[in-house]
Amino acid sequence: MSFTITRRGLLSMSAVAAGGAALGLSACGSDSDTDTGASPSGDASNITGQTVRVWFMEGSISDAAIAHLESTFAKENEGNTLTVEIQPWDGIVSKQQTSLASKSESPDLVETGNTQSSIFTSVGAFAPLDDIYEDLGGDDLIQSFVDAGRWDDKMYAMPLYAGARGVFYRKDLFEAASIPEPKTLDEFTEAVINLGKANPEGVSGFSGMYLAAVDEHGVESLMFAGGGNWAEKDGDKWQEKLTDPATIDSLNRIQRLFKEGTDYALDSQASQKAFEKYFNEGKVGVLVASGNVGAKIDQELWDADKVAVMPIPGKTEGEVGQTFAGGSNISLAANAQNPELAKQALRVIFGEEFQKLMGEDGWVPGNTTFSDSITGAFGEISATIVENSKLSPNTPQWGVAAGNNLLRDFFTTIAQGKDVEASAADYGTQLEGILNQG
Amino acid sequence: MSQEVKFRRPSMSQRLAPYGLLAPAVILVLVALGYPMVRQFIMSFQEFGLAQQFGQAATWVGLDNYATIVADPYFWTVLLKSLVFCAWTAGLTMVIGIGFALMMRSASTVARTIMNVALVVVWAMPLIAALTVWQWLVDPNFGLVNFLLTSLGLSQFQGFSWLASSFWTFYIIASAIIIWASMPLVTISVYAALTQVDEAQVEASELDGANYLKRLQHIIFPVIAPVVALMGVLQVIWDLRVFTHIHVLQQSGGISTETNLLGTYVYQVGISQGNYGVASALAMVILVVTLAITSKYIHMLFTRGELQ
Amino acid sequence: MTDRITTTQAQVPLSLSPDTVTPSPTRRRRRRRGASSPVLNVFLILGALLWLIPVYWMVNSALQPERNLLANPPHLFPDAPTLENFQGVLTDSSFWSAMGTSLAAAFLTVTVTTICSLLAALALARFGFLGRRSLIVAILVVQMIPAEALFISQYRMLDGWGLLNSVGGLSLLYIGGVMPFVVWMMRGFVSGIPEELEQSAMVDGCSRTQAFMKVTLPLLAPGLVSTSVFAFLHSWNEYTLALVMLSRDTSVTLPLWLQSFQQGLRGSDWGGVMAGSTLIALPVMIIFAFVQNRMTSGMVSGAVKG
Repeated sequence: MSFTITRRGLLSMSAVAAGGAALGLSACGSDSDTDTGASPSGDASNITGQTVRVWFMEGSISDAAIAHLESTFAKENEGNTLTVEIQPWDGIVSKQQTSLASKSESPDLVETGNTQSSIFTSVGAFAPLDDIYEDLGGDDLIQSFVDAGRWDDKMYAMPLYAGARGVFYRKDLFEAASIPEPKTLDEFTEAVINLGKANPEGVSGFSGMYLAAVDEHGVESLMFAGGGNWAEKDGDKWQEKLTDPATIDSLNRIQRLFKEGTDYALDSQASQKAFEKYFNEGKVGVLVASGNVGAKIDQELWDADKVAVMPIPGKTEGEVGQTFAGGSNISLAANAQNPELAKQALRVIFGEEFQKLMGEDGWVPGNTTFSDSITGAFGEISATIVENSKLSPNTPQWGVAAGNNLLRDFFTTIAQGKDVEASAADYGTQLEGILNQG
Repeated sequence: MSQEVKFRRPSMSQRLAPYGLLAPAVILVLVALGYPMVRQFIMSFQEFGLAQQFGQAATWVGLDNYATIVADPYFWTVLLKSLVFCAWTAGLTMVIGIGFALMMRSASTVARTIMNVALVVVWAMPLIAALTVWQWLVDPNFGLVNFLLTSLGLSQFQGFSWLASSFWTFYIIASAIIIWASMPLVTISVYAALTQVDEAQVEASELDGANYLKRLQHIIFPVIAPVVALMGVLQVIWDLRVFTHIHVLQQSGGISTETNLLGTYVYQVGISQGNYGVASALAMVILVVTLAITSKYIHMLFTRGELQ
Repeated sequence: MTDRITTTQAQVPLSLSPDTVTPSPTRRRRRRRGASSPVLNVFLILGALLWLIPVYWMVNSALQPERNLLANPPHLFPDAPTLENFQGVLTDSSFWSAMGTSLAAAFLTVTVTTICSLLAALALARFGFLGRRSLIVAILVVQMIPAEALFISQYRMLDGWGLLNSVGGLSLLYIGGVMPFVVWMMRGFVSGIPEELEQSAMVDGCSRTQAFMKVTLPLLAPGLVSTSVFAFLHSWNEYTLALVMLSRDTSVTLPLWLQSFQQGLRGSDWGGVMAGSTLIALPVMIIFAFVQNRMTSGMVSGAVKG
């Protein structure tokens, strides 16, 4: 199978985002028996006094959306409540491994990062959702995420949102340094380095962009944009692609950015979490970030029209660079206390209001019908970006590789200035080993 | 058996008394640790992964998990690094701790009081707070350490990332944090032991013309030896299985495969890879290694009669 | 089982137990020898200041506005001191709820551990019995088991008893983890108090229990304080177990709160994080200031041994 967003998903997404009607090409191919007859609240109507517990990750769903979910659920399911528990990223894997296996403590609905989902779909941690798949959006859902959320032909992880990355930059600084808007990735690299040298505002410790090895998905996006890839499936074996000339070429460019374009190549995780601060403080002129970061950039900068956005450029002019299709899925825990009520909650989550609220936070909502709700910085370019995004290898073993910090470790070696080819060969071998295990 | 017991006529109730006194403590430890330890031991002979955690039956694999560990060169790298890290960190902690204690013994009241305050304040720093402060101290761009070094003219430390540049600098920081946090305890303990040294004896040997090293060796050290030995062994035990320090610093950056020590390696195998079977076997291996290193001391505790 | 960070703390009370700290009579009779060398004093003071740098930097950063923290060169003194970082933490309701959880866990751990370990220490120090040596070895060996592979099973166990996300369940694990060491420490204190004192009280007509309550227990007070401090620190500092056992965001302990404060949305809000760290350290430092006095009396009480 391929890891790029499927054609069908793409078409429907871009079409919808452009305001047109979805091109319903084919049925999604799931063996779901659509539950048309039963009223949505059929099974849950006589349950009362229960609490549905939902785990969202820190920084993913806004307070407004959570409030909407809680109040709407309470209204539609009288006598029952829904509580959202925000989970910090640190240590989340150990929490999920223990809590999801617990009959009494398991949350009902869980958000998982889309690279992690398959770890859990493959071991029976989640309950299938085929019966309500059509109700939740069916073919309108981001199809590449849907494909990744299936295991053994059952639907376990529904696409919550996607968040591909683009470029935020200070256009006033670019103008002051007489640097034109870059059209290719090479021009982008030159522009960043020159901007750092020019330091138009004379800020001490200024560098062209913020780029840190610990921001693995940001670096990964640059790697994809330059034509690089992690691995591809060849028959039933995974073949690493890090040593591909295209990837090496892309990594060399990244190494140059690490070396000449930024002071933050080896920045700490804690600092990276709030990297927009450096942008707000005028210490960097360029950020590679997901759309929701737009809201964290000082309103003053926006008001003064100093900030602009663009997709990460590709290798040739007019081409948009591919980026990592980040995002999250939401699943029903196999050990959920209140599966029926949880399904009611899913209906709220995949309802128009909640989807639009996610769009307003800068995410691409799981149901592409509501993509036009994406407001803010990325509103206009997000369709293009998502169209050109791709997923990392879809196998539970990818979760293992990521859990081992393989991606971050690899980018750290590049940031440290180690020989790109040697490092790619080293990590390529490790990656192949892990992906082909089990 | 202890001396006193002999002249006592142990009645039934007296013979049962110690067991009764021990019961609450032993039961609580068994409740909290007994089942998990037994289960860990069992899992080390099973193929036990995430699928088993979610309900599939575990299969017995005999010694396979142990064989996997021993055959993995990465395990030996981590073991070696852990041993060196432990020797270096525990050794330096002891040297600095004893050194400060000896200095406190001969210092003026003012100097000693200042040191005492420092020891107590550092000792009282909660670990997570300490780790957070240290990460901020060594922050590449805004940390105090790099500022001081560049001020001294070492411009290569401008924006230098201690935790991410290489595993050497990572270990230097990790080790510095552990030494910083452990020194107060060693110093206070050794200093307390030093107050037992007979000053008259010291002065007498001074008059006999024995130099400082001689006095240290023949009069002072024998007195503090038991405390030093116990401290040393505890440092070794704790530094060998250090987890939280390394784990938290790894979150901050750096190449985790290069910076792993035994504690974080167990965590990575068990949690990140979801391979509890191998992780349990690893934990057993670490236990055996620690026992091997400290067995001599434990033996000594008994033969020297300190625990009669 | 006990985590390294927390167990390190064991060493002081341990070695301050009467059998190691008894000031020798000679020493007590004498005044200190003549003036010590100035070089040595300066060196010791410099060492002390060096050790205090991280603590100073924490407080210094906590008192500065964000903008100053991201300045180069750094502000070495709080030249524009502000309390906004502290206000930010103190008005954060999650800080107070974490404080409550931490205090509750610490209280339970300290109370149960101290009582149980005192009883066990009496058995070890005052009685000979079958299995005594094995028990002492077991106390040491338990310390050596890496905890990182245990908590999956501990989770399952608490789950079975319905004790997850409860202070009681977490405290149970803390008690089990810290008990072996506290028993070891307490044994030192108890055996530092000569049994002859109890025996002479028994000659005077006290029962064994009365003799213990009237003679030994008061002498043990400093020892009890030291072991309590250790048990307190163990639960106050513990991070990994709390992370897994307290999975609901409504019940976290202070280390978890601080870690999510730093790792979470606040990101590199170093001022806030440093203020949080200071506020977590403060209660411990206050307790220590209090305990320092008891330590001194511990030394005096140990003198009866000599």
